[in-house]
Amino acid sequence: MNLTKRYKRKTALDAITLTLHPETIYALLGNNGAGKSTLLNIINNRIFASEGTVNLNGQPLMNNSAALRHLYMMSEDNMFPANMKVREIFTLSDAAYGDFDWDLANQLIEDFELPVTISFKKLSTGYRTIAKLVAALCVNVDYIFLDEPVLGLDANHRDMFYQRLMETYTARPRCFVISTHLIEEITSLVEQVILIEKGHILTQTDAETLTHAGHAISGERGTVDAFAASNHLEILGERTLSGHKTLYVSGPLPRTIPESLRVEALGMQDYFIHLTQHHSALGRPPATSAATATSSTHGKVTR
Amino acid sequence: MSSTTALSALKGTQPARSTHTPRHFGAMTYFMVRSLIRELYSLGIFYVIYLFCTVAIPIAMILAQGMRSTGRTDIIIPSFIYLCVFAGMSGTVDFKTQVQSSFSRLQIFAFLAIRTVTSSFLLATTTLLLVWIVPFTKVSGAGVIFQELGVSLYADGGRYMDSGNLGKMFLVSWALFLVAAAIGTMAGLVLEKLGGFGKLVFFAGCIAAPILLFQLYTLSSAKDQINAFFLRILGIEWPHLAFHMWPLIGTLVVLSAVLLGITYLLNRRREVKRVNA
Repeated sequence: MNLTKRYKRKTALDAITLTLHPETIYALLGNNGAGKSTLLNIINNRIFASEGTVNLNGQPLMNNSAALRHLYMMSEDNMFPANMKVREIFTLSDAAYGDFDWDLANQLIEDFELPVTISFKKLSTGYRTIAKLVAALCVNVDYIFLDEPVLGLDANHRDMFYQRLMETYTARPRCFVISTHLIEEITSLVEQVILIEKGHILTQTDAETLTHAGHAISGERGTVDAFAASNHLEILGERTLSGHKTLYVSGPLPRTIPESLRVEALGMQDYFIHLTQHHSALGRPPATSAATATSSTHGKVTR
Repeated sequence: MSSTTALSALKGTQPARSTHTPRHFGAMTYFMVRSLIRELYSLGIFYVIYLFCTVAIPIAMILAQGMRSTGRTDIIIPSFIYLCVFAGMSGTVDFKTQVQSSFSRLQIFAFLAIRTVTSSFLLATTTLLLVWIVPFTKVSGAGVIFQELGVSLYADGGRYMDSGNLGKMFLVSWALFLVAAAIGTMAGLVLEKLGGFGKLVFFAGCIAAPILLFQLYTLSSAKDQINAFFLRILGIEWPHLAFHMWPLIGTLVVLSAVLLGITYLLNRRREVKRVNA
């Protein structure tokens, strides 16, 4: 609740309040420096909030080992000693969290051809990521936070990871929070999307809504401008090429659209780009959307 | 069916895996064993270097000179320095992994405190073993008998160690190494918090502080009281320099507790720094 993180000259998070629900896959999206990793690090007790608390089922998470055992975070930061062997990482995860899914781990090791008898430092960047992902998918926790989970992975391995993620989710639904810049790749996986920008929650809504939240309206400049003005559309951005204009708009469109105009759904990634650019251009902290305020009584992790 | 709808349909169709097994001590044991192995490894390196410098080289020199001689060396000070360095370096090694393993800061401090006690115990034990074994190590056949490797507590070389008081010596050295481990652990955490300039200031402070304290001491009008206080807490009876073990052990244990208290405060809101391997 009201989570704030200040560094010497910068406020990384500014009074964020958010609820994460169990058994839901979230995408945490934001530009570089938006505060995604800071948020995940605070939730997972790696760093401390300047103000505010993180709760799990009403229990504060900060330095609460029993509650922290329900959370696992995988990040680009290497949290294991460089000389630790890969299999030892899994053994430690089993010792720390219990009920490690060794069957799944062995299957993933085989699928990704992950060498487990060598030390972590001898792995390539991609295989380090894979080793951390295997640990994250096999620990028996209810909330898994993946910060840049496909860093250094080639296209094949990324695809394989997304498949395995869905399979493990099917086998045991849990809450996954995936922070990534590869928005298009996770669009089909996620149920909820949290957009964060400059330390504020820009919006939190379901992926389906967000995918259709933005539109590109293109056509002859005068027609496009007249249509936008008469329907009071929320314009995120525009692009003009000679007499042709494209408007990027947010929100629902009127039922009747002139045939001379071409309308296309923006998709999650393009909507994200235009929305964040729009707020940057305005130069003000984004207002909390109605979707952000939606909180379920089943909420488990509350910030 | 959209992906979101498909995911929603899957919920609740699969039984959740078993609930959490209490593992509060499992991971802690894991880290303790790992730390112990690391210490044994580094201790082995330390003793190899120590014996090479203090035994092998003197013997080689004696052999070269072709004379009969008795060597004497000190193990307390090198061991003290070794443990300071070891504790300082290893105090930060496991932190990130422990946070990854859902340790609270209190558990991490508990680990540091237990490790301070065990590493000092291990070093005191091995030191005493070495002190006990080496005097029986006679290098003969070339006219050389190397029969002493003593432990000196005081700079004047006055020896406290003999075969009759191994138990007492063990307790004193354990308490002394306890301080060394506590200093190292605390210094490790301080250095971890500081940037480049901060580290410079810290080292400058470490050098300047004793000089400053000595200056204050020389300017003080209560030198006799200060002398008496320090002699008392060190267990030395003036003027005949009789040594009493328990006051010194008490002082060292209290000092260790104070250092561990500072370590607790430093560790309480310790954050993971984002440094990639």
